Amino acid sequence: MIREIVAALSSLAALVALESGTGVALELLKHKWAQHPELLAILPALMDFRGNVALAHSSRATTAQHLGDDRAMVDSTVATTIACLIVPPFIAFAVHEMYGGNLEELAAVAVLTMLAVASVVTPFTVAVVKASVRLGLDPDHVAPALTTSLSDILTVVFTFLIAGVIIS
Amino acid sequence: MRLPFDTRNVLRILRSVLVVSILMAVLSSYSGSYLATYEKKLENTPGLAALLPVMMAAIGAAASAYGSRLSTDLHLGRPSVIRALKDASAQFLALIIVLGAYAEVISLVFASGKPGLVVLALKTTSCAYAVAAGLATASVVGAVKAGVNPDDVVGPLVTTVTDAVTIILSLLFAP
Repeated sequence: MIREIVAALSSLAALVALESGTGVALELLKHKWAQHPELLAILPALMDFRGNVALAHSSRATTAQHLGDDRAMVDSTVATTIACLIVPPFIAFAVHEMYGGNLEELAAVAVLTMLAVASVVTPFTVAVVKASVRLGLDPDHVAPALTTSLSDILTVVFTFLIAGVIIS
Repeated sequence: MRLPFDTRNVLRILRSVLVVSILMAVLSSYSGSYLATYEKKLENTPGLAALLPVMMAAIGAAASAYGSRLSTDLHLGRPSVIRALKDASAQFLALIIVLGAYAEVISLVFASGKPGLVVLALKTTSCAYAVAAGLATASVVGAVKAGVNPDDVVGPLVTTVTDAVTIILSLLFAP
């Protein structure tokens, strides 16, 4: 039992350390979402979607690396980028229906945020997978935590940065 | 012109990603809308915004890890109630220690060390993890009975529902 608790403690402590950046960013951006609560409404869905996509991409990229199949890694990168174009308008529509806000503005913020995050995180994932192998680490243990945490932080920051330009 | 990627493979990946992503996005939009409706509570409780995403990520990860181990045990044909209870309890104890410590730090930085944030974190974590672990158990057993690989279902389902439950409970418990 002690061994299980120690194992869970170490992985959760690392996760909390990585995710604390997202929490602190959200706390520091309070004044921005107080003026536009619709951004707060869209944030969990964007973070959840980006996290799921990042996790799936990192999983496919590590499998491709293990199999030595670089083309499969490129396929996954292309599919991830296309998904980031298709899903955000659905998120904007769902938030608009459930909470409100300007649909066009929400859709623009959602699409541009996801594309901006994808443009950083997708190549980062491939780089982490390749670097892990070179350093003799198992990418399955390294890539998922790093890419999902980076996705969360960047989603919060980019949402407010892009909304600052688009929403008057 | 030869494309640098395999179109059929890209379409296959998109088919598997899009359905789950859109369904989960609609579920998450509900919790986001709830969060925005009670935005004043979040704004008026110093440190809660810093605590919330971390609680969501950690509780989801702990319940998913428990679900993943349960799924492995079922795949290997060695299900054990005792082992499942031990795994669930180990994840719970670790969660309480890590999130309690994080809430204490956030309270010192953003809320002048008031104990309310730590109590809120512990209450929310306990209740949300109970729901998440119950859902993980039900979804693993349900997926096996339905002939679906639980590894494909449990992660997205547990993390999305856990996010919603954590948001709702933390706003209910906030002063």
